[in-house]
Amino acid sequence: MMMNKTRPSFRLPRAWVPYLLLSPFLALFSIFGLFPLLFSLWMAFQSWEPTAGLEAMRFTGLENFIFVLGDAWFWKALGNTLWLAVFSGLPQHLVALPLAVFINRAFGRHGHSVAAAYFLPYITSTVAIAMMFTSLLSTDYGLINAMLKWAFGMEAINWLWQPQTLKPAVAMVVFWRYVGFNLVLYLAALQTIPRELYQAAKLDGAGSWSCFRYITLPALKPMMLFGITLSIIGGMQLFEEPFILTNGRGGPDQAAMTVAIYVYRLAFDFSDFGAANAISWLLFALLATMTWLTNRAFKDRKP
Amino acid sequence: MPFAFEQARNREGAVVAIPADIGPGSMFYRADVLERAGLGLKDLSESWEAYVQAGVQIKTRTGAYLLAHARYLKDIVLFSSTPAGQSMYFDAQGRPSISSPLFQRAFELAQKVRRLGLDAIVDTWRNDWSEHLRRGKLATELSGAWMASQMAKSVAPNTHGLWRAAQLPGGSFGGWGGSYYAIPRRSDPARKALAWSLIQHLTLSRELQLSAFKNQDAFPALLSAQDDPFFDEPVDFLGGQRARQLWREAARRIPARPLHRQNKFAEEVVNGELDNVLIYGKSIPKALADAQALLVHRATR
Repeated sequence: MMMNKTRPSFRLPRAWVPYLLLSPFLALFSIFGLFPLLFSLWMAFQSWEPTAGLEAMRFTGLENFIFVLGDAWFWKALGNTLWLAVFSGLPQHLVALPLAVFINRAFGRHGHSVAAAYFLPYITSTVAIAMMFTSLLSTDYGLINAMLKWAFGMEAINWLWQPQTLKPAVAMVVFWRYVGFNLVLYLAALQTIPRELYQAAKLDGAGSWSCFRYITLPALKPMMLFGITLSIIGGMQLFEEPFILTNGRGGPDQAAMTVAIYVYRLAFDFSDFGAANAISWLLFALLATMTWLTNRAFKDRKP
Repeated sequence: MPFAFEQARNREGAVVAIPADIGPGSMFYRADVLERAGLGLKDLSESWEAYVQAGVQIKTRTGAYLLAHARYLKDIVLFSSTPAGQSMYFDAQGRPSISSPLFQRAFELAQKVRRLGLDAIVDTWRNDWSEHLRRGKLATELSGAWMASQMAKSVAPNTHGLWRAAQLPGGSFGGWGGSYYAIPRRSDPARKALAWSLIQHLTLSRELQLSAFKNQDAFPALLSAQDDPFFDEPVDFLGGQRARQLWREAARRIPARPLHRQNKFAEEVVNGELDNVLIYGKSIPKALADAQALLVHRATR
């Protein structure tokens, strides 16, 4: 007590402590998260060529948004992105879910070590994966064409240089990369379903399909919502795989130019930061809407 | 190097960067493949049309492709045939000039190459491109002089002695890359002065320019560095050919090409239309007209 009185006290009021402890995060978030976000919103309403310096920025109102909505390349990129999101996203869940059920049944609690094998691509660098697939997909030296020739006597396919084969090739790489992630999600959810439910159902004479349909699927619903939401967001923001597979251009006839690649090219290749930021915010609005719709679709309907 | 210096002018005509090294264009060709095809260098280099024609014989007799991608042929034909001092995609008034006969010819050559199956349809630097080079499946590679040492050191060291260099077909000259030094306008004046003396040292010292050439294969942009005896020495990888003399001559004849603000965009528009021609068989006049229209529309931005 005496000590406290003599020493000049430099103690913070209790109420401030949480804010002090939060401040490192808040500082980092404002610098690297909030500021770029707001700056991007600001730029979406400006016309700016970055090489001319910051003072060359000019307010143009909604001009960027109007330009983008009338830009054929934007719509093409959006179409490509939706195509890729559907054809890489849907199979991920259609394969991951049954696979998770199978692994859970066959391996039980040890399923995780099996799932780890499927999970490996997810933690591998995208660049390494895309580089590997460019080699696998090579027309004259690729393993994939060699196998097709060996198995079916097929002519070599130029996967990455034809619009009609490039899209499926990109979708395949994305599927291969993320199927393991969804598998782990579903496996984790499966292991939380109480066994008693299945035992009770069996006593009531339910077959394995009925068990799956009336116990497993409903119990997996929250995880499906989570997984599908992540797939939609990831699919709509797809960038690295098609970017590397097509050498940063988006492929022949821009067949694999996703919205994210177009944003990148608009900003850094065509020096049009205004339009690039406008698209980013349009994409954000679209994603928010899609996520909201997914949420609604999965909501328990109450009578 | 006059062309490299001219290239560094901004719209107001002021020089804003100093060239350090350049990449004089060269046609690398496999002497052994040509011999098997029963062709001489002259059969390839007379004109771009002859070059494509020779590709047919190369393909039928040896199975090798003429070049990596039809698009690259379009690029260099366009670059080298556009009059000096003029941008490739825009005229002096800044209006798009895509529908000129130059584009028609470049597109026709690319289309012919694709129709005859003469291009390997691979991108430079990809794995299958270097595999083609290693196996002698690409009869020619149109690139900067630095490509010789790239091939020697990393891309295809096993083809040592099989390649030769020549000037591009049809008396064409072009540049593949190069480096410049510039100083940001707003930097601290004291540092600016230091940076400027460093730049002068790096770009004007004959000795440094030469050592960069000998050690890093950076072809000197400094004219006075180009009369060193090193230019007359044989290049091992090219079968002892004195190729540097060739590149020195090419360097002096590369046309300067001002870059328009929308150059990159114009390039993508043109490449997109070339895809339409090569992949979907779109007619060339229609493709060029569409490219022109898109650029005119975009020019208002």
